[in-house]
Amino acid sequence: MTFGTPAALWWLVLVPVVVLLYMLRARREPRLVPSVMLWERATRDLVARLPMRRLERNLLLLLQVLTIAVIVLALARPSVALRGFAGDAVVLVIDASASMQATDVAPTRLVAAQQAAAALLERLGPRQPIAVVVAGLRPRLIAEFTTDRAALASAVRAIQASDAASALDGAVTLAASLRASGRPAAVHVFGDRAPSDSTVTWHAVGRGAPNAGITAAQTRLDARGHTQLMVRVEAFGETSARSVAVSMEGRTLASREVRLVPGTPQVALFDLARTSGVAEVMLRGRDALAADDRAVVAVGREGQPTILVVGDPNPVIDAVFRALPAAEVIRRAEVAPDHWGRAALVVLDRVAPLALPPGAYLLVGTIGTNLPVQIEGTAAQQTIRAVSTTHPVTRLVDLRGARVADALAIRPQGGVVLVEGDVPLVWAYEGRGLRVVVLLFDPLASDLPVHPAFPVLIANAVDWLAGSPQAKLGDAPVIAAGTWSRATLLDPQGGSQEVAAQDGVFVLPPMDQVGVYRLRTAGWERRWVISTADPRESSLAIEPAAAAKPAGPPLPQLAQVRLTPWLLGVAVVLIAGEWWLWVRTLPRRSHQKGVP
Amino acid sequence: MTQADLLLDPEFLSRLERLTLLSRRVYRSGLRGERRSGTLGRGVEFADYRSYHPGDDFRYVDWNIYSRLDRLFVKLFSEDEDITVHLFVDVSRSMGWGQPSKLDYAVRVAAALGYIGLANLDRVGAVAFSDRPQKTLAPRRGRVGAHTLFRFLGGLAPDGRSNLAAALKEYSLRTRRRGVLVVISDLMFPDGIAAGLRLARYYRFEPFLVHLLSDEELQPIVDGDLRLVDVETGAAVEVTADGTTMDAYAHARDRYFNEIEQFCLRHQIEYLRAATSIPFEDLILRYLRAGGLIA
Repeated sequence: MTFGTPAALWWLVLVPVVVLLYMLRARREPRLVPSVMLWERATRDLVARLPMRRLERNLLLLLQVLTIAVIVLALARPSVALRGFAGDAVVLVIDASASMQATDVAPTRLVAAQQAAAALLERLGPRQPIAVVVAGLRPRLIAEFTTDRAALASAVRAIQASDAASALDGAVTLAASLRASGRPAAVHVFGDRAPSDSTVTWHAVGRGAPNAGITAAQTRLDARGHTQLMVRVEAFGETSARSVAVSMEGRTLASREVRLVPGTPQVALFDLARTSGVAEVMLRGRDALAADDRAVVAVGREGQPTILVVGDPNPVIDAVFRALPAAEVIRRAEVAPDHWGRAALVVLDRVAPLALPPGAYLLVGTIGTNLPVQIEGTAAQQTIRAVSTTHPVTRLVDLRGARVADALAIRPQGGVVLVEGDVPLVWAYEGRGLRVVVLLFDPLASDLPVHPAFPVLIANAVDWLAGSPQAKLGDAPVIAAGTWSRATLLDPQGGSQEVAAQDGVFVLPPMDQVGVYRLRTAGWERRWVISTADPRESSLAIEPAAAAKPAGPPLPQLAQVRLTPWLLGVAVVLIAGEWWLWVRTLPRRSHQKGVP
Repeated sequence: MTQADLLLDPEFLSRLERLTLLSRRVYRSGLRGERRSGTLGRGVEFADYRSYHPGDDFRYVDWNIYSRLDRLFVKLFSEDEDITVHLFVDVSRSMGWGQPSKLDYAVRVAAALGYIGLANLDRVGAVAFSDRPQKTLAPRRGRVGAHTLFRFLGGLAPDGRSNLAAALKEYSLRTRRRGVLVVISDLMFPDGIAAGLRLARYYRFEPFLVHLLSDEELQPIVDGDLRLVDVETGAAVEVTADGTTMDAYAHARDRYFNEIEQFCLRHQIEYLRAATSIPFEDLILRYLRAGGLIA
């Protein structure tokens, strides 16, 4: 038996409380009666039935304790695996992780899984409802229960593997939660990794094969301004000699031979000088999985954010942003949120307060009207007394002693105050689709521009706010849409999909392929680069099933049966029984043998 | 008008005057009364003949029969005698229970029966008893005694513990008059009723039991865990007043009533049980008539 909410079992402490109350209840209230003669006779009769009386009274207590225990158990959401409880329905779970692209079975593990699923579809009865769940980056139900075999086969064939790891257990949970005509379905998993749920049937695909792959690729600027590319390569299963080549726009920039030994990652460093663009790293030579033989990195300006500065010219801000590494710094005097989506960071410099669309902002001497702060006027002659030492924006920044002539006085209702005098002077907030750092003063009205820590503060803020176009597998960016209602998302495979703006933002689907994603509108384009496949997918060994039973002769299916409804039913019966017993013990009107 | 006069209203009293107390037996009081008895004697109503015996009064010889049959027969007449009614009213503390209290009800019953007796020139006495006769009103005759009787009954108050046998024994030794003994009580005697009623029979009383009960005794309204304390004795019983207990109480109550009924049947004692909730007039005019105490 497993519990969905085991913490609910703490409510069992109510049981001793009920017993205690039951014991305390036995205090007797004195009452005068004309005679106890008949009562004495009655109690003499009762003494003869004392064991039964005790049983009745204890039965009431027992029922109360049982009722509490059953309700608490129901709150804990227990479930058990029962054989033969599953209905006719079947859910097919297809693993679509990166390792399913492996070619140790021809043509690939995914195709083998699709063929096995199709074969099972053939074997199942024509009236059995079947659903299909894809175990990708996130579990997805791609076909609801249907008996339309052609539609199911088509749905299975359309499944494509990603470069990410799969949420297999989540997919199994989703599949187990599906009900056909109120009954749970038998779950069949097709993949190269055994699910941890012992109630499902696992159809293992793949034989296991040696592999080598790129498990990390990163760039950084060195002191000369050159881009250094670091590539980590690992071997799984057998030693091999491979070469790592870096190319850009079809032109090979460098290559290096590496000898790969299982368990010993190799790191290859490449000096890419001042090159700018999207570099492709290839691990040359054949192996069973091609997905991890390729990495993509943004190099130079390509890997840096585009910054949009809005407001009147400001020599201090302009000087700082000229010094910062950025793909592009655009300055605009007019406040036009429609074009802000193209920039990774928007700097609002002393503009009138306005409602901020979702995105990343550095506010200088202004505030957003939709931020959770209360403006209390201005504060003059502030001296910085405290600086946060833990927040990334103030890392290595010590502005104590710096003075500010005039600042907005705010009372934050959330976020983090990073720098403060008598009032907050720098405040950071993240939420509601916003990531904001607010300088509550004009730097020109302070001595911060001459303070050596000021550029570091701005650089840290840019890093925290804009990051870099380099994204992680599974990221699902949220971009301010401005006045645009639709945009096109181009994936690394060349596919495209329309994305509609919702509530002023484009919410992109999770990115699960290695390469460059592009979001395009008529006015601008944003890019995100996914570097490598999930390194956990590079090992192609097939682990023996630890929990799930491998497919074999057809057996009555195990089904995860949730006990909560049954327990609540039992609780209702217990309460009814307790009520009946209680009513039975109530004083009843009997025939009065007193009237002549 | 005194409190005693309020026991019964005049209209009800006039209805009572049409009733008569019944007795199965004739008691030799030595005085001729208004009641026709089974004794043949010097009354005015012819009853029978018997053969003449020497010493018989010649005035009762039927000479017409002698002329026809040539034998002497004496005419016999029913003799009118009076009876004595002893109203034995329980005034123990338990009689103060109920709404109206059992004692109030008992006093009115005793007043009504006493008035019927007095109106028929019977002798009526009253005794207030608990574990002994507390107050006694000597038997008296005629309507003039009604006011005294009512005042006596109106002054009764519940007090003391009850013991029918002890009270009857003491009373029997005090009085020589025998007659109808109307015991009006809740019969909640810890020592039972058998000894007392046997004693009454032994002393040649003709007992008539009027058993009064309040509704609370017939159907107690109790709930939960209680310690019931006897108002007379202070004895306590711990009960959990649930359905089972109330069933047991009802069973014990019915068994007790049955015991009383069986005892009275065996000993030819008239018995009437009444709840104080039934109208008093109904008890007198309907149930006591049906019970054979009055006619």
